[in-house]
Amino acid sequence: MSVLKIKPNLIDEMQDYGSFDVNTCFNCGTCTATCPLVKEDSQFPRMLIRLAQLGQSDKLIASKELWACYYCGDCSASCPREADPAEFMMASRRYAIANYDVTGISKSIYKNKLLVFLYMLITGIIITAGLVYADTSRFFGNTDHKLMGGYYYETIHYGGLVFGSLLGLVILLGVYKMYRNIDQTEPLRKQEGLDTKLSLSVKAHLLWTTFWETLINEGALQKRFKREDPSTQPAHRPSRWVIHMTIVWGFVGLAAATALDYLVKDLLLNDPAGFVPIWYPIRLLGIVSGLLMLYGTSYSLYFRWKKVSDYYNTSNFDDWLILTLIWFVGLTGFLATLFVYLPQNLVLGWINAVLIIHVLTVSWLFMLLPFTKFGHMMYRPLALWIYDYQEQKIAYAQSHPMETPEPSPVLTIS
Amino acid sequence: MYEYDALIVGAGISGIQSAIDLGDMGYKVLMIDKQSSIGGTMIQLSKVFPTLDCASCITTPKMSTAFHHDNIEVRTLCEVKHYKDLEDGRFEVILKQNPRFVDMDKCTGCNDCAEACPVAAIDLGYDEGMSYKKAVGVPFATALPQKAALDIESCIFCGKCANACPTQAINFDHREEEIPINVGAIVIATGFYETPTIREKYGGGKFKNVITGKQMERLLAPTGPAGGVFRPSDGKSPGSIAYVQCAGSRDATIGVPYCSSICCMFAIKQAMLLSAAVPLAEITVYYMDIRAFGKGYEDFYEEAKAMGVEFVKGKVAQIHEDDETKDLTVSVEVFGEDGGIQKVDHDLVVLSMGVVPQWTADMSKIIPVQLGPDRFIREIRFTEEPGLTSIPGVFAAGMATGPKDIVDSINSGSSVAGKVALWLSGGLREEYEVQYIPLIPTLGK
Repeated sequence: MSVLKIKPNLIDEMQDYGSFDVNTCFNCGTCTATCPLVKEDSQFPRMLIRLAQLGQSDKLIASKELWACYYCGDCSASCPREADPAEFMMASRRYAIANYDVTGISKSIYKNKLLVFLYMLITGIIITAGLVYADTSRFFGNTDHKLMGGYYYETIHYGGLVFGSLLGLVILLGVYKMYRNIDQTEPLRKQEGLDTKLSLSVKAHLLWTTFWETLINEGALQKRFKREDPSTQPAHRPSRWVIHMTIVWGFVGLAAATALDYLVKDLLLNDPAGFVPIWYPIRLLGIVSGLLMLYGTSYSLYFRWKKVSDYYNTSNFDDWLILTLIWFVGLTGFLATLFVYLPQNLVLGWINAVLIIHVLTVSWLFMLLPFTKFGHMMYRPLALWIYDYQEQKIAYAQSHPMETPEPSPVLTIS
Repeated sequence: MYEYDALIVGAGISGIQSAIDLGDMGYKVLMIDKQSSIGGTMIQLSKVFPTLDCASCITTPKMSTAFHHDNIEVRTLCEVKHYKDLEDGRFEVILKQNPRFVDMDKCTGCNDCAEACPVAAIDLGYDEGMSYKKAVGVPFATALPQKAALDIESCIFCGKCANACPTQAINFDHREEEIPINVGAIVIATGFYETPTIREKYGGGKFKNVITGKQMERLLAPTGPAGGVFRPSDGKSPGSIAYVQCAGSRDATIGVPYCSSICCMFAIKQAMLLSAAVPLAEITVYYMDIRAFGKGYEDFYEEAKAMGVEFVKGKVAQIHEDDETKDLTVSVEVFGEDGGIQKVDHDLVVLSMGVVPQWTADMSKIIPVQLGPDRFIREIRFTEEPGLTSIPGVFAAGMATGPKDIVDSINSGSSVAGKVALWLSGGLREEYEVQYIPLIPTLGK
């Protein structure tokens, strides 16, 4: 049994993460009854607003409902107090991400938006300087594998690995913090003694199946988004689901292409910087994924800029930042690929600039991943997975009633 | 130039009360109303809370007392057109007398004209759109003056009424007149309208079986259009009736963020009356909080609960209409142990609309009284000196200064009459000179 911590100034604190005014909320429940996404077991936004009003920060960021909202804006349009519950939902997510971040970078970025540029400037200088230093000093034991533009392959490769492990650590810590939080603040969902009643193999099986279900339904197919997003029949195309899917799959595709490229060229062919023709499957995968990502982010940025509908009306600074970074990553990556196949004397001066921007934007994007809205790609599936697992456990226990042990026969001595 | 001691604008219950009190004190009073009869909103009502007295039984004697009072002159279909403060404690006012098209001296109130009239226009006034009315005739059974009036908007100029009139009282030559008067004090008692905007989520006024509190009041009144409660779509007796509280108040999206202070009580009252009028109907009141603050109000609420009226805590978010049956489904997040999102079917839904002032910012251009942030007339010292507006000598009574129930409106009328008497006898002058911190009630936002 854990003790709930109360934060009396929670709403004031959360106001750094979005402009809403739930102090005026009188808990009429209009938002919840209007919301097209509420289910019997997950009712929001009023419940979350109530938690915020009560200062129950831990319960708020541990809730499943936090990740169920797709921001259609219906609740805000109908709120009689103009408290903007939809913006509150978005702010709660940002607040949750900031609270799961162990470094404190996220909190300071949201508190002072200028800090994000300072953060980017500092890391930018470090990366550029590190790139040059590692290149000239042959810090990573550079061989003669030179990328176009003259950078050593090893510098990028090993530099990225070091950098990635640091970020991986931050992400792992955040994920662990989230798991602990949900585990501690949702004792009701575990039901009495359920964990001890179910055997280890059953639990492992449920954990495994729910993992794949979450990964496929929420990650790969985004079924819930497609089914429940009220904007899938909008006047404008493409729908939000299509935009989101292209960004996700573009991202995944590029990650896969990078990993495969490494496996094949470095480990198998031992020629990591070698030239490949355009029909080379991994290169093709990268190009297609990059185009998908560009397509999605361009539309998203354009719709947000034009505010084509209610769904695009409110954009926080991190929405712009992340989308712009992804867009630049896509663009510079695509240009760099293009340059490989153009006559080298034509593009010589440009290669360096494009490549350094590409490396920088990629680094920034990953560096901002655990600290901004971008972090939803880890936290959201994880939360849904944990909750799904808990629900499956309960369902399993109900469909397989436990056998009560036979009372041991009483020996009567006659 | 006629001279009066006081001009009372609005002949609703608080205006009438002011007029009677002033008249009884010996002051000469002119009471005007823009409708063709005096009585205001209260004469439309069925019964009053918390005593369940018949509303007409309170209103009509007061109307009659005022109308036949020696010291009170009544003008109907009359509005204020121009106002000038003479700075010596008196005012020059020009009234606009709208044409009645019926000679008041000749008309006997026999209503033959109405029987001859072929027009059937929706009665948006007295019957709140729940019945039809003729273009000419005595406005309603208990109207005062008991004289016919012709509504030129719906008239088709067939002349049948003029032929039918035994005293040749119909006169199409009536024109708007200006009447200059000189008065010592002005009382604004213009009352309220029901909030005119119905939320889109409640059908925006398009659902036939979604009616307002005042429409239900007409259905329940003994003088009502059908002598009973029916569903507007098919005329059937409703089997389940829902009340949606705070439907047109405490809602910033429709510009009415304040509490109307009457809806809880009139909904409880109507629920009780419905239990008698439609004994088989189930009545559900969806509320956020019941504000039963007055004397005997809480007991009244408890009584309604004991009578079997169901009170459900939760604000209705949406109403859906079935295209064929016109039945309604309300969506609401219910509070309590069995709470959560519920969708409940009802035959008839009554929206407890809030109140907005009839006195508008445009009218404040004629008589420049300050308005508060809630757009009701601002009482400059509402906690200590009732009815004083920002202009010395101009007073406001009843709902014109803020939401009030009938008890408070009558109280307000009487207290303002006292203030007017004080003003007319040379008092109250220094009250306006005292420097004070303006008391502006903050809105609910």
